[in-house]
Amino acid sequence: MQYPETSGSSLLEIAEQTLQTEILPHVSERTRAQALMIASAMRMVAREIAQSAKITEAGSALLAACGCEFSAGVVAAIRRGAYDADGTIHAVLWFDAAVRTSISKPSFLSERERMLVGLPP
Amino acid sequence: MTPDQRAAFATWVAPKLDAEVRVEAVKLLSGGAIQENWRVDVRIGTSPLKLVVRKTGRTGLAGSRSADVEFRILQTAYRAGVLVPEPIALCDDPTILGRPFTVTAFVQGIAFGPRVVKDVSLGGHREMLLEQLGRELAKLHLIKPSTTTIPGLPAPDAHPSDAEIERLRHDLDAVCAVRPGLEWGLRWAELNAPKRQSWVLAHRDFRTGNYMVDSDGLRAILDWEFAGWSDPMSDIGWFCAECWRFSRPDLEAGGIGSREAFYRGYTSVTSRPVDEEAVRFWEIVAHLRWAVIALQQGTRHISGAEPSLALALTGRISSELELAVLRSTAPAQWN
Repeated sequence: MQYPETSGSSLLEIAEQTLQTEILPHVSERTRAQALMIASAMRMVAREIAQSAKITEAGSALLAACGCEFSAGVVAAIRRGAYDADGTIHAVLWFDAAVRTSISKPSFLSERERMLVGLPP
Repeated sequence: MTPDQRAAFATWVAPKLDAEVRVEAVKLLSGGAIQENWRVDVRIGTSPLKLVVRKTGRTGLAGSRSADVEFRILQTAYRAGVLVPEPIALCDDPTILGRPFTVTAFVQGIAFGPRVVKDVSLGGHREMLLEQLGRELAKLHLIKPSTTTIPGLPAPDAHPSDAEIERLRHDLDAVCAVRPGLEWGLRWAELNAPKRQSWVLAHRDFRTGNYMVDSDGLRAILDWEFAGWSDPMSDIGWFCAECWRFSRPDLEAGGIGSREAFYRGYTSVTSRPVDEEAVRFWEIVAHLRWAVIALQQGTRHISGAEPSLALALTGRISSELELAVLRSTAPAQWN
């Protein structure tokens, strides 16, 4: 048997919409700021769930490019100058940062970055 | 403030104002993610006086000055003629209000950055506001470690950019942040720093959001908790950095107007020219530094020391800042 369920990200989306339409119009100015932050956090979590595959892809690409097992190894290598002006490393770092920004602030992405991380134009 | 604290404060501040003091009203002021600011209305005889009491936060950031050092920096700036709230007194006795605090004169106006940027009825003529901001910053930069000693602020001994990069790496390690993108930016900064640098008294958080305006113009420069010795172009870079322009990324000076107006005011006070290439360097470092601060803010929440949705969300800002750094430090931009 299958039990149709709302996915995690779409559940958050409807919860955030309900907050915006049913709660926000009725709260005080002071509470409004808190409620807007709650809405922002919910949108972010929904995007994080939706982008989870890209997050994994970005992390793996970085480790593979550096030949490291852990990110701490990448940091150490960059600090000691192992990747100065390295175009390949810059590209994977850029992709990684673009994926995380697609979660925290997608409006900050350029058109090219949106394409890179699999968001619609 | 509790009634007992009001009474203790009135007793403590009376000799500083050379009068008997009665506390009439206390109001928590908005703003201040690190410190706690209270407006305290007192009466001295028949005369009302408005004060600001600034308490050290429950949890702080590495790089935040202690109350006493911040106060001495503020006094130094005030004596140099920089437009700041009048510093009145410093209290390092935690029994009065629970934590050390400073007292300054209250200044009426608006400081909230997004509003200052958006509401053009604030600040008077915008280009004139920028000229004045440039002048105030230049007055501060006339104060040098070679001629001024500020107790609690050690004389610097490295290149300003080296000191900044070392501090940021230390801060990243201290919060256990593993951020290869930021490390890339720091390495770029290490190799691409301006050759000519100097040490001055810098605000180190000089930006829209940290000065007070009213409808006529500038009222005061605020928030001196990060102030210290640094290169003068670092303050200009921080002010002009895109991350501090709020809703007007097109207005390169603080989200309120042109660099030309800001630089014009600055160079009208000091013979030092604005080194545009150095400013560009420090704008990139500004994004690195704000990213590290954002991670520190997030850690205050993650650690459980100060559970806060605002702090948690601030930590997430680091991603777009890192992206901005990577956009500006592609391989072609390396020396």
